[in-house]
Amino acid sequence: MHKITDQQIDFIISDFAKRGVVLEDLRDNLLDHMCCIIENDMTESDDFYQFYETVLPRFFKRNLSEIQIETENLLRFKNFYTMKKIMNITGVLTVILTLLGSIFKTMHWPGAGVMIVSGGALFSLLFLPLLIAIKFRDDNSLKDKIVFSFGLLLGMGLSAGFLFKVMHWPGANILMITGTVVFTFCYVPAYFITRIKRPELKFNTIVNSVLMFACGGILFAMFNLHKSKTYEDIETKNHTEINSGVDRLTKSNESLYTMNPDSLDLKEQYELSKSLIQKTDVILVALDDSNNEKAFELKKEWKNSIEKYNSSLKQMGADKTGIIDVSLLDEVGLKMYDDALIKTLFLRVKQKVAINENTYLIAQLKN
Amino acid sequence: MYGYEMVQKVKELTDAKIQLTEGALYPTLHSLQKTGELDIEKQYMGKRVRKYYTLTEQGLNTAEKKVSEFAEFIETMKFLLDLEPKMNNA
Repeated sequence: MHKITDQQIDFIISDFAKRGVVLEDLRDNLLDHMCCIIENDMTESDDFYQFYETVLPRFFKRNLSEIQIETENLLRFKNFYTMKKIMNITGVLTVILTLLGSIFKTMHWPGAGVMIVSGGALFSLLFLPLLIAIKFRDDNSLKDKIVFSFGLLLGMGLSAGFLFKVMHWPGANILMITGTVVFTFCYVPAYFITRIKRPELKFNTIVNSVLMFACGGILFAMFNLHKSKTYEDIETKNHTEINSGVDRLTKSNESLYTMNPDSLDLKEQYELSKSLIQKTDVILVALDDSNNEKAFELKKEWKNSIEKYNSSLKQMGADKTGIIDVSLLDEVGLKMYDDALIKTLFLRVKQKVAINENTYLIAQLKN
Repeated sequence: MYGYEMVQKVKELTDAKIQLTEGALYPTLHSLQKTGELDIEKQYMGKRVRKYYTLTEQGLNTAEKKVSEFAEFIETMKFLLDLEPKMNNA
Protein backbone atom coordinates (compact mmCIF):
# COMPACT_ATOMS: atom_id res chain seq x y z
CA MET A 1 0.00 0.00 0.00
CA HIS A 2 1.32 3.38 -1.06
CA LYS A 3 1.36 6.17 1.50
CA ILE A 4 0.49 9.40 -0.20
CA THR A 5 2.76 12.38 0.54
CA ASP A 6 1.84 16.03 1.23
CA GLN A 7 3.64 17.02 -1.94
CA GLN A 8 1.49 14.63 -3.97
CA ILE A 9 -1.65 16.01 -2.29
CA ASP A 10 -0.60 19.54 -3.26
CA PHE A 11 -0.09 18.34 -6.82
CA ILE A 12 -3.59 16.81 -6.94
CA ILE A 13 -5.19 19.97 -5.47
CA SER A 14 -3.50 22.22 -8.01
CA ASP A 15 -4.37 19.85 -10.86
CA PHE A 16 -8.03 19.80 -9.81
CA ALA A 17 -8.04 23.61 -9.72
CA LYS A 18 -6.49 23.70 -13.20
CA ARG A 19 -9.21 21.37 -14.44
CA GLY A 20 -11.95 23.63 -13.09
CA VAL A 21 -12.84 22.11 -9.72
CA VAL A 22 -12.70 25.01 -7.25
CA LEU A 23 -15.68 24.34 -4.93
CA GLU A 24 -13.88 23.56 -1.67
CA ASP A 25 -16.33 20.94 -0.41
CA LEU A 26 -16.34 19.07 -3.69
CA ARG A 27 -12.58 19.35 -4.08
CA ASP A 28 -12.07 17.84 -0.59
CA ASN A 29 -14.33 14.93 -1.47
CA LEU A 30 -12.64 14.23 -4.79
CA LEU A 31 -9.20 14.60 -3.22
CA ASP A 32 -9.97 12.06 -0.50
CA HIS A 33 -11.49 9.75 -3.09
CA MET A 34 -8.43 9.98 -5.31
CA CYS A 35 -6.09 9.44 -2.33
CA CYS A 36 -8.06 6.33 -1.31
CA ILE A 37 -7.78 4.87 -4.82
CA ILE A 38 -4.06 5.61 -4.97
CA GLU A 39 -3.44 4.18 -1.52
CA ASN A 40 -5.42 1.03 -2.20
CA ASP A 41 -4.70 0.25 -5.83
CA MET A 42 -1.25 1.66 -6.58
CA THR A 43 1.65 -0.74 -6.20
CA GLU A 44 5.09 0.32 -5.05
CA SER A 45 6.49 -0.16 -8.56
CA ASP A 46 3.91 2.20 -10.13
CA ASP A 47 4.80 5.81 -10.88
CA PHE A 48 2.52 8.19 -8.97
CA TYR A 49 1.96 10.68 -11.82
CA GLN A 50 1.33 8.00 -14.40
CA PHE A 51 -1.05 6.19 -12.11
CA TYR A 52 -2.88 9.45 -11.31
CA GLU A 53 -3.31 10.17 -15.03
CA THR A 54 -4.77 6.72 -15.66
CA VAL A 55 -7.20 6.89 -12.71
CA LEU A 56 -8.48 10.43 -13.24
CA PRO A 57 -10.49 9.77 -16.44
CA ARG A 58 -12.71 7.42 -14.41
CA PHE A 59 -14.14 10.51 -12.69
CA PHE A 60 -15.68 12.11 -15.78
CA LYS A 61 -16.87 11.71 -19.37
CA ARG A 62 -15.31 14.77 -21.03
CA ASN A 63 -13.53 16.78 -18.35
CA LEU A 64 -13.34 17.05 -14.59
CA SER A 65 -15.16 20.37 -14.39
CA GLU A 66 -18.42 18.64 -15.38
CA ILE A 67 -18.66 17.27 -11.79
CA GLN A 68 -18.57 20.82 -10.44
CA ILE A 69 -21.12 22.01 -13.02
CA GLU A 70 -23.44 19.15 -12.15
CA THR A 71 -23.06 19.87 -8.42
CA GLU A 72 -23.79 23.56 -8.93
CA ASN A 73 -26.81 22.72 -11.06
CA LEU A 74 -28.18 20.37 -8.46
CA LEU A 75 -27.61 22.88 -5.67
CA ARG A 76 -29.01 25.81 -7.60
CA PHE A 77 -31.96 23.90 -8.97
CA LYS A 78 -32.84 21.91 -5.92
CA ASN A 79 -36.38 23.08 -6.59
CA PHE A 80 -36.17 22.07 -10.24
CA TYR A 81 -39.05 19.61 -10.08
CA THR A 82 -41.24 22.02 -8.10
CA MET A 83 -40.51 24.66 -10.73
CA LYS A 84 -41.50 22.27 -13.50
CA LYS A 85 -44.69 21.39 -11.65
CA ILE A 86 -45.62 25.04 -11.08
CA MET A 87 -44.88 25.75 -14.74
CA ASN A 88 -47.21 22.96 -15.86
CA ILE A 89 -49.98 24.08 -13.53
CA THR A 90 -49.70 27.74 -14.57
CA GLY A 91 -49.65 26.65 -18.21
CA VAL A 92 -52.91 24.73 -17.85
CA LEU A 93 -54.48 27.55 -15.79
CA THR A 94 -53.47 30.13 -18.39
CA VAL A 95 -55.13 28.13 -21.16
CA ILE A 96 -58.33 27.60 -19.14
CA LEU A 97 -58.57 31.21 -17.91
CA THR A 98 -57.86 32.79 -21.29
CA LEU A 99 -60.25 30.51 -23.15
CA LEU A 100 -63.06 30.98 -20.62
CA GLY A 101 -62.28 34.70 -20.46
CA SER A 102 -62.56 35.10 -24.23
CA ILE A 103 -65.87 33.21 -24.29
CA PHE A 104 -67.20 35.42 -21.46
CA LYS A 105 -65.89 38.52 -23.19
CA THR A 106 -67.59 37.58 -26.47
CA MET A 107 -70.86 36.94 -24.66
CA HIS A 108 -70.46 40.11 -22.52
CA TRP A 109 -70.87 38.09 -19.34
CA PRO A 110 -69.43 39.46 -16.10
CA GLY A 111 -66.04 38.20 -14.92
CA ALA A 112 -64.41 38.16 -18.35
CA GLY A 113 -61.91 40.89 -17.45
CA VAL A 114 -60.76 39.19 -14.25
CA MET A 115 -60.21 35.88 -16.07
CA ILE A 116 -58.30 37.37 -18.97
CA VAL A 117 -56.15 39.58 -16.74
CA SER A 118 -55.26 36.76 -14.35
CA GLY A 119 -54.62 34.39 -17.28
CA GLY A 120 -52.32 36.92 -18.93
CA ALA A 121 -50.56 37.75 -15.68
CA LEU A 122 -49.97 34.07 -14.90
CA PHE A 123 -48.59 33.54 -18.39
CA SER A 124 -46.25 36.53 -18.49
CA LEU A 125 -45.19 36.63 -14.86
CA LEU A 126 -44.97 32.95 -13.87
CA PHE A 127 -45.10 30.61 -16.84
CA LEU A 128 -42.62 32.37 -19.12
CA PRO A 129 -40.02 33.29 -16.44
CA LEU A 130 -40.08 29.68 -15.17
CA LEU A 131 -39.67 28.44 -18.72
CA ILE A 132 -36.62 30.72 -19.13
CA ALA A 133 -35.08 29.38 -15.90
CA ILE A 134 -35.69 25.75 -16.84
CA LYS A 135 -34.46 26.20 -20.39
CA PHE A 136 -31.29 27.83 -19.05
CA ARG A 137 -30.54 24.68 -17.15
CA ASP A 138 -31.26 22.31 -20.03
CA ASP A 139 -29.64 24.21 -22.91
CA ASN A 140 -25.92 23.87 -23.20
CA SER A 141 -25.10 26.43 -25.85
CA LEU A 142 -24.82 30.04 -24.69
CA LYS A 143 -26.10 31.31 -28.04
CA ASP A 144 -29.25 29.21 -27.68
CA LYS A 145 -29.76 30.50 -24.17
CA ILE A 146 -29.49 34.13 -25.27
CA VAL A 147 -31.78 33.71 -28.28
CA PHE A 148 -34.33 31.73 -26.28
CA SER A 149 -34.43 34.22 -23.39
CA PHE A 150 -34.73 37.08 -25.86
CA GLY A 151 -37.68 35.30 -27.45
CA LEU A 152 -39.35 34.67 -24.12
CA LEU A 153 -38.91 38.28 -22.99
CA LEU A 154 -40.51 39.31 -26.28
CA GLY A 155 -43.29 36.83 -25.60
CA MET A 156 -43.88 38.47 -22.23
CA GLY A 157 -44.05 41.91 -23.83
CA LEU A 158 -46.35 40.71 -26.60
CA SER A 159 -48.75 38.91 -24.28
CA ALA A 160 -48.89 42.02 -22.08
CA GLY A 161 -49.68 44.01 -25.27
CA PHE A 162 -52.52 41.69 -26.25
CA LEU A 163 -53.84 41.82 -22.69
CA PHE A 164 -53.77 45.64 -22.71
CA LYS A 165 -55.52 45.67 -26.07
CA VAL A 166 -58.28 43.32 -24.96
CA MET A 167 -58.80 45.34 -21.77
CA HIS A 168 -58.69 48.70 -23.65
CA TRP A 169 -55.79 49.88 -21.47
CA PRO A 170 -53.56 52.67 -22.79
CA GLY A 171 -50.19 51.76 -24.33
CA ALA A 172 -51.45 48.53 -25.88
CA ASN A 173 -50.65 49.48 -29.45
CA ILE A 174 -47.08 50.51 -28.80
CA LEU A 175 -46.42 47.26 -26.85
CA MET A 176 -47.98 45.09 -29.53
CA ILE A 177 -46.48 46.79 -32.53
CA THR A 178 -42.95 46.97 -31.08
CA GLY A 179 -43.23 43.38 -29.88
CA THR A 180 -44.42 42.08 -33.24
CA VAL A 181 -41.86 44.03 -35.26
CA VAL A 182 -38.95 42.93 -33.05
CA PHE A 183 -40.26 39.36 -33.06
CA THR A 184 -40.67 39.13 -36.82
CA PHE A 185 -37.62 41.04 -37.93
CA CYS A 186 -35.09 40.37 -35.15
CA TYR A 187 -36.01 37.23 -33.22
CA VAL A 188 -36.98 34.95 -36.13
CA PRO A 189 -33.82 35.74 -38.15
CA ALA A 190 -31.67 35.28 -35.01
CA TYR A 191 -33.36 31.93 -34.32
CA PHE A 192 -32.84 30.85 -37.91
CA ILE A 193 -29.18 31.88 -38.15
CA THR A 194 -28.12 30.30 -34.86
CA ARG A 195 -29.73 26.95 -35.65
CA ILE A 196 -29.69 26.37 -39.38
CA LYS A 197 -26.04 25.27 -39.42
CA ARG A 198 -26.69 22.35 -37.10
CA PRO A 199 -27.74 19.36 -39.21
CA GLU A 200 -29.83 17.76 -36.43
CA LEU A 201 -31.91 20.92 -36.07
CA LYS A 202 -32.09 21.95 -39.72
CA PHE A 203 -35.57 20.64 -40.57
CA ASN A 204 -37.20 21.85 -37.35
CA THR A 205 -35.54 25.24 -37.70
CA ILE A 206 -36.90 25.75 -41.20
CA VAL A 207 -40.43 24.70 -40.24
CA ASN A 208 -40.48 26.78 -37.04
CA SER A 209 -39.00 29.85 -38.70
CA VAL A 210 -41.54 29.75 -41.52
CA LEU A 211 -44.40 29.34 -39.02
CA MET A 212 -43.15 32.15 -36.77
CA PHE A 213 -42.48 34.44 -39.69
CA ALA A 214 -45.95 33.82 -41.09
CA CYS A 215 -47.63 34.46 -37.72
CA GLY A 216 -45.57 37.60 -37.12
CA GLY A 217 -46.27 38.84 -40.63
CA ILE A 218 -50.02 38.29 -40.32
CA LEU A 219 -50.09 40.09 -36.95
CA PHE A 220 -48.03 42.94 -38.35
CA ALA A 221 -50.35 43.28 -41.35
CA MET A 222 -53.36 43.39 -39.06
CA PHE A 223 -52.12 46.40 -37.08
CA ASN A 224 -52.40 48.60 -40.14
CA LEU A 225 -55.98 47.59 -40.82
CA HIS A 226 -58.19 50.63 -40.69
CA LYS A 227 -61.89 50.89 -41.30
CA SER A 228 -63.08 50.07 -44.78
CA LYS A 229 -63.13 52.93 -47.29
CA THR A 230 -66.94 52.76 -47.60
CA TYR A 231 -67.32 53.06 -43.84
CA GLU A 232 -64.95 56.03 -43.69
CA ASP A 233 -66.79 57.70 -46.57
CA ILE A 234 -70.11 57.33 -44.76
CA GLU A 235 -68.59 58.88 -41.65
CA THR A 236 -67.16 61.81 -43.59
CA LYS A 237 -70.47 62.33 -45.38
CA ASN A 238 -72.29 62.27 -42.04
CA HIS A 239 -69.93 64.93 -40.65
CA THR A 240 -70.33 67.11 -43.77
CA GLU A 241 -74.13 66.82 -43.57
CA ILE A 242 -74.23 67.88 -39.91
CA ASN A 243 -71.78 70.71 -40.58
CA SER A 244 -73.72 72.08 -43.56
CA GLY A 245 -76.94 71.81 -41.50
CA VAL A 246 -75.32 73.85 -38.76
CA ASP A 247 -74.07 76.41 -41.29
CA ARG A 248 -77.53 76.83 -42.78
CA LEU A 249 -79.08 77.21 -39.34
CA THR A 250 -76.41 79.74 -38.30
CA LYS A 251 -77.08 81.81 -41.42
CA SER A 252 -80.84 81.74 -40.81
CA ASN A 253 -80.18 82.72 -37.17
CA GLU A 254 -78.09 85.68 -38.32
CA SER A 255 -81.05 87.00 -40.28
CA LEU A 256 -83.34 86.39 -37.29
CA TYR A 257 -81.00 88.50 -35.13
CA THR A 258 -81.24 91.38 -37.60
CA MET A 259 -84.99 91.35 -37.02
CA ASN A 260 -84.41 91.88 -33.28
CA PRO A 261 -81.25 94.01 -33.21
CA ASP A 262 -81.94 95.90 -30.01
CA SER A 263 -82.47 93.17 -27.49
CA LEU A 264 -79.52 93.12 -25.06
CA ASP A 265 -80.34 89.57 -23.95
CA LEU A 266 -80.15 88.41 -27.50
CA LYS A 267 -76.86 90.20 -28.06
CA GLU A 268 -75.24 88.37 -25.11
CA GLN A 269 -76.65 85.04 -26.15
CA TYR A 270 -75.49 85.63 -29.71
CA GLU A 271 -71.91 86.25 -28.56
CA LEU A 272 -71.93 83.20 -26.29
CA SER A 273 -73.26 80.90 -29.00
CA LYS A 274 -70.87 82.29 -31.57
CA SER A 275 -67.82 81.82 -29.36
CA LEU A 276 -68.90 78.32 -28.42
CA ILE A 277 -69.31 77.34 -32.05
CA GLN A 278 -65.90 78.85 -32.85
CA LYS A 279 -64.21 77.00 -30.00
CA THR A 280 -65.82 73.74 -31.09
CA ASP A 281 -64.55 74.40 -34.61
CA VAL A 282 -60.99 74.85 -33.34
CA ILE A 283 -61.19 71.50 -31.55
CA LEU A 284 -62.59 69.87 -34.68
CA VAL A 285 -59.67 71.24 -36.72
CA ALA A 286 -57.24 69.81 -34.17
CA LEU A 287 -59.01 66.44 -34.43
CA ASP A 288 -58.84 66.63 -38.23
CA ASP A 289 -55.08 67.08 -37.92
CA SER A 290 -55.01 64.03 -35.60
CA ASN A 291 -53.67 66.34 -32.89
CA ASN A 292 -55.65 64.76 -30.08
CA GLU A 293 -53.32 66.14 -27.40
CA LYS A 294 -54.12 69.70 -28.48
CA ALA A 295 -57.83 68.87 -28.70
CA PHE A 296 -57.66 67.47 -25.18
CA GLU A 297 -56.08 70.71 -23.89
CA LEU A 298 -58.64 72.88 -25.73
CA LYS A 299 -61.46 70.77 -24.38
CA LYS A 300 -60.81 72.07 -20.83
CA GLU A 301 -61.53 75.68 -21.75
CA TRP A 302 -64.33 74.60 -24.06
CA LYS A 303 -66.05 72.93 -21.11
CA ASN A 304 -66.00 76.27 -19.20
CA SER A 305 -67.74 77.91 -22.14
CA ILE A 306 -70.35 75.14 -22.13
CA GLU A 307 -71.04 75.75 -18.45
CA LYS A 308 -71.37 79.48 -19.05
CA TYR A 309 -73.69 78.79 -21.97
CA ASN A 310 -75.84 76.38 -19.97
CA SER A 311 -76.20 78.78 -17.01
CA SER A 312 -77.15 81.61 -19.35
CA LEU A 313 -79.81 79.33 -20.90
CA LYS A 314 -81.20 78.64 -17.43
CA GLN A 315 -81.26 82.36 -16.62
CA MET A 316 -83.21 83.02 -19.76
CA GLY A 317 -85.70 80.36 -18.73
CA ALA A 318 -85.13 78.43 -21.92
CA ASP A 319 -86.35 74.90 -22.50
CA LYS A 320 -84.36 72.35 -20.46
CA THR A 321 -83.88 70.14 -23.49
CA GLY A 322 -81.52 72.80 -24.80
CA ILE A 323 -78.98 72.21 -22.03
CA ILE A 324 -75.76 70.76 -23.45
CA ASP A 325 -74.66 67.55 -21.82
CA VAL A 326 -70.96 66.72 -22.25
CA SER A 327 -70.98 63.57 -20.14
CA LEU A 328 -70.71 61.35 -23.22
CA LEU A 329 -67.60 63.20 -24.37
CA ASP A 330 -66.11 62.96 -20.89
CA GLU A 331 -66.80 59.26 -20.87
CA VAL A 332 -65.08 58.48 -24.17
CA GLY A 333 -62.12 60.76 -23.43
CA LEU A 334 -60.06 61.78 -26.41
CA LYS A 335 -57.37 59.17 -26.47
CA MET A 336 -58.72 55.69 -26.62
CA TYR A 337 -61.73 55.90 -28.90
CA ASP A 338 -62.44 56.24 -32.54
CA ASP A 339 -61.74 59.77 -33.78
CA ALA A 340 -64.85 59.80 -35.99
CA LEU A 341 -67.09 59.13 -32.99
CA ILE A 342 -65.49 61.98 -31.01
CA LYS A 343 -65.88 64.29 -33.99
CA THR A 344 -69.57 63.39 -34.27
CA LEU A 345 -70.07 64.19 -30.59
CA PHE A 346 -68.49 67.65 -30.99
CA LEU A 347 -70.52 68.32 -34.14
CA ARG A 348 -73.67 67.44 -32.24
CA VAL A 349 -72.80 70.13 -29.67
CA LYS A 350 -72.46 72.68 -32.48
CA GLN A 351 -75.73 71.53 -33.92
CA LYS A 352 -77.49 71.82 -30.57
CA VAL A 353 -76.25 75.37 -30.02
CA ALA A 354 -77.56 76.41 -33.43
CA ILE A 355 -80.93 74.70 -32.86
CA ASN A 356 -81.27 76.33 -29.41
CA GLU A 357 -80.57 79.72 -30.89
CA ASN A 358 -83.05 79.17 -33.67
CA THR A 359 -85.82 77.98 -31.34
CA TYR A 360 -85.26 80.92 -29.00
CA LEU A 361 -85.16 83.53 -31.76
CA ILE A 362 -88.36 82.25 -33.35
CA ALA A 363 -90.10 82.25 -29.95
CA GLN A 364 -88.94 85.89 -29.45
CA LEU A 365 -90.33 86.90 -32.82
CA LYS A 366 -93.70 85.32 -32.05
CA ASN A 367 -93.90 87.42 -28.89
CA MET B 1 -19.68 6.26 5.46
CA TYR B 2 -17.45 8.32 3.14
CA GLY B 3 -17.59 8.53 -0.65
CA TYR B 4 -14.92 5.99 -1.53
CA GLU B 5 -16.35 3.58 1.01
CA MET B 6 -19.80 3.86 -0.59
CA VAL B 7 -18.42 3.07 -4.05
CA GLN B 8 -16.60 0.03 -2.67
CA LYS B 9 -19.64 -1.14 -0.72
CA VAL B 10 -21.93 -0.99 -3.72
CA LYS B 11 -19.32 -2.75 -5.84
CA GLU B 12 -18.96 -5.50 -3.24
CA LEU B 13 -22.70 -5.97 -2.69
CA THR B 14 -23.44 -6.24 -6.40
CA ASP B 15 -20.41 -8.31 -7.40
CA ALA B 16 -19.15 -5.26 -9.30
CA LYS B 17 -22.27 -5.25 -11.49
CA ILE B 18 -23.12 -1.75 -10.33
CA GLN B 19 -20.30 0.73 -10.05
CA LEU B 20 -21.05 4.20 -8.81
CA THR B 21 -19.17 6.85 -10.72
CA GLU B 22 -17.59 9.77 -8.90
CA GLY B 23 -19.25 12.16 -11.33
CA ALA B 24 -22.69 10.98 -10.25
CA LEU B 25 -22.01 10.30 -6.57
CA TYR B 26 -20.56 13.58 -5.30
CA PRO B 27 -23.00 16.03 -6.91
CA THR B 28 -25.84 13.92 -5.45
CA LEU B 29 -24.25 13.83 -2.00
CA HIS B 30 -23.84 17.62 -1.98
CA SER B 31 -27.40 18.14 -3.10
CA LEU B 32 -28.80 15.74 -0.47
CA GLN B 33 -26.73 17.47 2.18
CA LYS B 34 -28.17 20.83 1.18
CA THR B 35 -31.75 19.56 1.27
CA GLY B 36 -31.17 18.21 4.78
CA GLU B 37 -31.30 14.51 3.96
CA LEU B 38 -27.67 13.97 4.96
CA ASP B 39 -25.46 15.10 7.81
CA ILE B 40 -21.68 15.25 7.60
CA GLU B 41 -18.86 14.80 10.01
CA LYS B 42 -15.42 15.93 8.95
CA GLN B 43 -12.24 14.11 9.83
CA TYR B 44 -9.01 15.96 9.15
CA MET B 45 -6.13 13.75 8.01
CA GLY B 46 -3.14 16.05 7.45
CA LYS B 47 -3.89 17.98 4.31
CA ARG B 48 -6.88 15.81 3.51
CA VAL B 49 -10.41 16.07 4.82
CA ARG B 50 -12.62 13.02 4.91
CA LYS B 51 -16.35 13.53 5.14
CA TYR B 52 -18.51 10.87 6.75
CA TYR B 53 -22.11 11.00 5.63
CA THR B 54 -25.05 9.86 7.77
CA LEU B 55 -28.77 9.97 7.04
CA THR B 56 -30.72 12.52 9.07
CA GLU B 57 -34.19 11.68 10.35
CA GLN B 58 -35.68 13.37 7.31
CA GLY B 59 -33.22 11.42 5.14
CA LEU B 60 -34.27 8.12 6.74
CA ASN B 61 -37.92 8.87 6.01
CA THR B 62 -37.16 9.84 2.43
CA ALA B 63 -35.03 6.73 1.95
CA GLU B 64 -37.78 4.52 3.30
CA LYS B 65 -40.30 6.17 1.00
CA LYS B 66 -38.06 5.94 -2.05
CA VAL B 67 -37.18 2.29 -1.36
CA SER B 68 -40.82 1.32 -1.03
CA GLU B 69 -41.67 3.25 -4.22
CA PHE B 70 -38.88 1.45 -6.03
CA ALA B 71 -39.97 -1.95 -4.67
CA GLU B 72 -43.46 -1.26 -5.87
CA PHE B 73 -42.10 -0.30 -9.28
CA ILE B 74 -40.09 -3.55 -9.46
CA GLU B 75 -43.19 -5.55 -8.52
CA THR B 76 -45.17 -3.83 -11.25
CA MET B 77 -42.46 -4.48 -13.81
CA LYS B 78 -42.22 -8.11 -12.77
CA PHE B 79 -45.93 -8.48 -13.30
CA LEU B 80 -45.94 -6.47 -16.50
CA LEU B 81 -43.09 -8.36 -18.08
CA ASP B 82 -44.41 -11.66 -16.79
CA LEU B 83 -41.14 -12.47 -15.04
CA GLU B 84 -42.87 -14.62 -12.43
CA PRO B 85 -45.50 -16.52 -14.39
CA LYS B 86 -48.40 -17.65 -12.27
CA MET B 87 -50.38 -20.79 -12.90
CA ASN B 88 -53.30 -18.91 -14.39
CA ASN B 89 -51.55 -16.73 -16.88
CA ALA B 90 -48.86 -19.15 -17.99
